[in-house]
Amino acid sequence: MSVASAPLREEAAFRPATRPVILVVAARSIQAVLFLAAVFFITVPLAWLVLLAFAGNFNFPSLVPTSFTVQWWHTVLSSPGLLHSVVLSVTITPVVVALSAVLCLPAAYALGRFNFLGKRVVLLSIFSINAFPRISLYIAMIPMLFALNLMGTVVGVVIVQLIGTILFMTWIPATGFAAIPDALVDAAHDAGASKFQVFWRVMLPLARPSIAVAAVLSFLAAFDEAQGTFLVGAPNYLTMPVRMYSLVLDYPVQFAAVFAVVLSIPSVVLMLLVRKHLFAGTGSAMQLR
Amino acid sequence: MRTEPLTASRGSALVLEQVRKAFGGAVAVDEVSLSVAPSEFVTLLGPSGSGKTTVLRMIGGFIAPDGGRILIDDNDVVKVPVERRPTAMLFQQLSLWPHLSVARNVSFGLELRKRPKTEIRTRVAELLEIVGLADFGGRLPAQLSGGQQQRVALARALALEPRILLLDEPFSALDTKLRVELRTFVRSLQREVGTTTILVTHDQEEALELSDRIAVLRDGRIEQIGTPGAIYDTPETGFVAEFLGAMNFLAGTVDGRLARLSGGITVPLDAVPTDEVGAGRVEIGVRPEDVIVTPDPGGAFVVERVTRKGYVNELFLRSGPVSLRAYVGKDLALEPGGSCALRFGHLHLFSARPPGGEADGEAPLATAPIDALAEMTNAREAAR
Ligand SMILES: Nc1ncnc2c1ncn2[C@@H]1O[C@H](COP(=O)(O)OP(=O)(O)O)[C@@H](O)[C@H]1O
Ligand SMILES: [Mg+2]
Repeated sequence: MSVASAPLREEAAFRPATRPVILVVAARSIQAVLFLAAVFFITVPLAWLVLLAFAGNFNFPSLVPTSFTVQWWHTVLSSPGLLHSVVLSVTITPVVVALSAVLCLPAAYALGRFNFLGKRVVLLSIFSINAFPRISLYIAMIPMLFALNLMGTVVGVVIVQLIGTILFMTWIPATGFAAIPDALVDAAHDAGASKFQVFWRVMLPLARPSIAVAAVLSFLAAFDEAQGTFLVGAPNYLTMPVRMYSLVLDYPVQFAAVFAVVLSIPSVVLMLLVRKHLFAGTGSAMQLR
Repeated sequence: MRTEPLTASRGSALVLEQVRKAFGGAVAVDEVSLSVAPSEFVTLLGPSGSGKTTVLRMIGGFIAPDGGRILIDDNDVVKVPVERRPTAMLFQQLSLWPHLSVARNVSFGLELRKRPKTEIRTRVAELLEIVGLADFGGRLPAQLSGGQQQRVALARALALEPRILLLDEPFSALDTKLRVELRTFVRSLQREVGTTTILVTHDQEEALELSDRIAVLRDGRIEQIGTPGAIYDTPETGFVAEFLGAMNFLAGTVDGRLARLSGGITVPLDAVPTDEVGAGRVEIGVRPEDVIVTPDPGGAFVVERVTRKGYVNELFLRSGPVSLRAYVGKDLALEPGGSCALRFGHLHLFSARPPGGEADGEAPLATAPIDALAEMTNAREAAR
């Protein structure tokens, strides 16, 4: 006992005041319940989709399919143009996210760290991108894209998908940058870092969790974007969601389920990939303990 | 306000010449002049809002002065940006970079200077050894206690080999025991390394213990500057007297060689040089430790309250409208209600100030303490 007590007392220095056991137990229980609820609400709909995607015979009185088949998968996977859509989606989306990061992160940095004339106007305009029905924005853009000869091109599709990522890629990292204590920035300047070195070596790593969140949301927004992509890219460039929309109406619900499962794969993979970045680091609103 | 002769600047490590800074309309630093010798440890002491941090940040280059000059080793650095100033700052808040290991925090500045890898490695090991954290290089800051983090921050500052080390209340976030430990450590380290150091603090004890000289700041001005002993023993203003140590102020009127307090109490001023006594209203300053208390049933003062301060007892004494505090040995047998007679070991004379303590242009009358014992007598009792 006495051997263990010494390091324990050391440890206590790092902890805030100890709370009564009953509160700790209560907090842990609530945490557990919330966690289970989250697991339930994430996995059950996904499981349901998967079930539907393999459903053969599925008629009303029965709550679950009465027979199973891989027929829908066969139909989807062998449909002409699918491979093209997959390749298109999986290549365009990362390009859009990367481009969005390059264009928006400096703006996010400025918005988060500095006060300048017209800052509110900038924030408001960024916000207003998402405040109106997106379709009106696209329709307004189409004449411009025509004029620039970008209709029906990959560049046009990239531009139209980029728009949906701007809010995420500026707003969220801006709060991450703003949360970094000034003393960390001052200390870096003091150690001899130029403005750019401070940004690169201190700000960027510390804002990483917020940037990761922004990147995930941007990826999903761009990946799922169908309206604008259809308007601008058709008929040459039909990404996965565009193809799904055009086919869903002609086939039974199981067909859409297969598509939905296929569309979910990148999201799931992405979440697993960035999981550790989301909850690491400091100086971010997303820091969890 | 005292300013130092500007001719002292040659050979000084740091010189401030009439440095000014205002934020909006509010003057934060007002014509501050100061000259610091190489290896000297100077403390800027003052209450919150007196402009200490602003002065320090102007020296470090974080804030540009509105006017005046800042010389480091006789070079004007006002135009030199933070990253190229030969200064290093230890901040009040914990300011280690949380994403870098302890060792990387210390080596950050050296990496930016493109020093050879092997040199960096030995230097970091050396510095962590000096601050007593040799085995902690691989840890992240969050795995260290507050005191350990400040020691790493100190190593990080020293790694820059600054000409001037700037400390902005670096101990204030720590608990008492750690604070005392760390400041003792900083003092001996500074003696050893010999880096010219400017400390900002509002803690008089810290200032007295650490400094070669203390500059007391008030409302953006240096009110007095001198060695800790000189400032404590001969405060030039009531403000300085109260800020460093405690002081009783007794309002009275000079009458020949006597000061008459209200309630018929008189204090002889025999020891004060005649030309310094002047006439009219004065404030008599007496430090609580200079009040000599003798239990005396016929004494003019009554003990109202006794507070234990650990090593001494603090007595709250009253005689009519006159009240004062005295520090006495713990074995002095005086309980609340007891009577006593008083003598003063040292007196300080200040020109009178209006009630509330706001005294503009308040000037010391007697700048030296009055050493002879001054016995307080109650005139009414003496007449009886
Ligand atoms: N960036 C700033 N903007 C406006 N006022 C400031 C700023 N920094 C300091 N001040 C003001 O200047 C005065 C001196 O502040 P400071 O140097 O921080 O005092 P101290 O360190 O002695 O507490 C205070 O009245 C403070 O409110
Ligand atoms: Mg301060």
